[in-house]
Amino acid sequence: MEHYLWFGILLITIVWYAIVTVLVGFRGAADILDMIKRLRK
Amino acid sequence: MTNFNWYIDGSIVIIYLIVIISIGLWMRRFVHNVADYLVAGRQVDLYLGIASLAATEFGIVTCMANAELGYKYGFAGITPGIMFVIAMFVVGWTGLGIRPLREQEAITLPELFDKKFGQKVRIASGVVIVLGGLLNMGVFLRMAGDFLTVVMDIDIQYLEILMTCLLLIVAMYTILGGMMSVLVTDYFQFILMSIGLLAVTGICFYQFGWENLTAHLEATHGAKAFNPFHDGAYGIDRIILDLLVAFAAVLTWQTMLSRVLSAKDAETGQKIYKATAPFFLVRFGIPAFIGIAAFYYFSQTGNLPEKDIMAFPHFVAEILPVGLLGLLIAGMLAADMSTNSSYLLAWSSVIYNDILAPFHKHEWSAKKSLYTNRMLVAGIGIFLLLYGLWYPLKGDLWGYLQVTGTVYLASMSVILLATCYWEKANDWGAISAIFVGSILPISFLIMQQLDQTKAMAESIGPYKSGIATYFLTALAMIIGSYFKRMLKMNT
Repeated sequence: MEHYLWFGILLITIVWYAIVTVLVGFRGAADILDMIKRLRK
Repeated sequence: MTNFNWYIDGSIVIIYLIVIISIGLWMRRFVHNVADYLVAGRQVDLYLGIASLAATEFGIVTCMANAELGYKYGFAGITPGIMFVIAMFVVGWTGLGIRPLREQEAITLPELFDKKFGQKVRIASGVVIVLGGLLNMGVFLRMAGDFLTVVMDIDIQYLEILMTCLLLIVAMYTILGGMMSVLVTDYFQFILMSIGLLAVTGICFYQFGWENLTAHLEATHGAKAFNPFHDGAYGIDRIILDLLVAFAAVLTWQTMLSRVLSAKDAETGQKIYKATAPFFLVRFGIPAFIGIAAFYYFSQTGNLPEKDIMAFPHFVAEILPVGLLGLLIAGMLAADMSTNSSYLLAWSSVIYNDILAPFHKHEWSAKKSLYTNRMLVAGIGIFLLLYGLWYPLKGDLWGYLQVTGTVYLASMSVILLATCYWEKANDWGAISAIFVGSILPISFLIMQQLDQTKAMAESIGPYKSGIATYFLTALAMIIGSYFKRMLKMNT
């Protein structure tokens, strides 16, 4: 039973991590550009 | 034995280093004053904050330490990660401690304490934070050097040179670009490190299979590999300490707080914490899973590494194919560089803001402030190099990180909560908490090193000693505060 619990935890972790990596990849780049724009002003 | 190929993997690593150094150096043009240098002009938005916080809190040391937990304890080794997720989410959700801190626009924690307890507490807090932080960071370079010598099959005699090169690269862009360079390099490092980690995890699943890994754990460790409460395997002491450390770190660890302090407002700071909370499961879960796979792999080959902590580098060096190994090394270097750069900046900001600045009667010019901060980063780098060379690590790495972290985590978390939520708290209580909170873990570290007291330190153990430190520190805060009030009432 505990095997499946850990499998679930690990699977959710990996899926979450993959999604966040893609999301942060795009939105983080926008944040950097935005920050640079504000600092240039 | 390693699959590392100098032409293919080496090129990947060198290209990564050139790109990251160039970006780090380019960002220096946006640094005009200390606020830009230390908190990026407080312009950080949510996604950049997440990338930076996640990259900072994951280095080669974290990966090796957490893989060691998985290697030794199986899935029970993920327990500290679960505690961190809980702590991070609760603090992010409620704003406990971090909201008042951000609203006060402080650069560091001691700056907030100054407002309630006065300058003496600010300076004492600064000293304790730097002491605990530097001791904690002291092993980072050596561990990174150990990792690289194994995976790249470099002779151990070049370890010191390797450590120096690593530090020089990080120090170069941190000294010049401060938090601006740290944030942007953190972003690229987060992406690279994530690709590397996800790829290794996928290979472990594919090559060994979930059923084989769990069956092997069951056969060797039994039920305790899956349940930290079972049969005292992981230990209730350790679980309690994990929870205390998690809350204290989330509330007061300067490298974490600096992301909240750099956030554009308190709301964004809390959002960064909430959104980064699950990353702590990644931080512990994925390396621990790789540690479990390493345990299975080495049990099959019969070639167990001498030290458990070295299981991770030996394992990845042997199972990853050419190309992917280069990618993982670049990812691990990325993880380590982002951690080192943030830590260098965090401790230098405390030295500047809370130890040097209070003694300086007149305000420094922007140019002189920047110069001082840069010199501090360089000075910390030299200290790390010397400390990393001579300190012999005893016990497991995560245990060392917890004990050294406790030097300041215990007292600072107690003082932060008292500052925000206990009106009767005063400077006597704060000074007592700092004294008790730092003296106990340092005594334990010394006891571990001396032949005469080594046995006693072993019988107490780092977990009981850690728990006692937290409770006695809180007690010292209460007794010290009431003692001053009593004396005042009597006079």
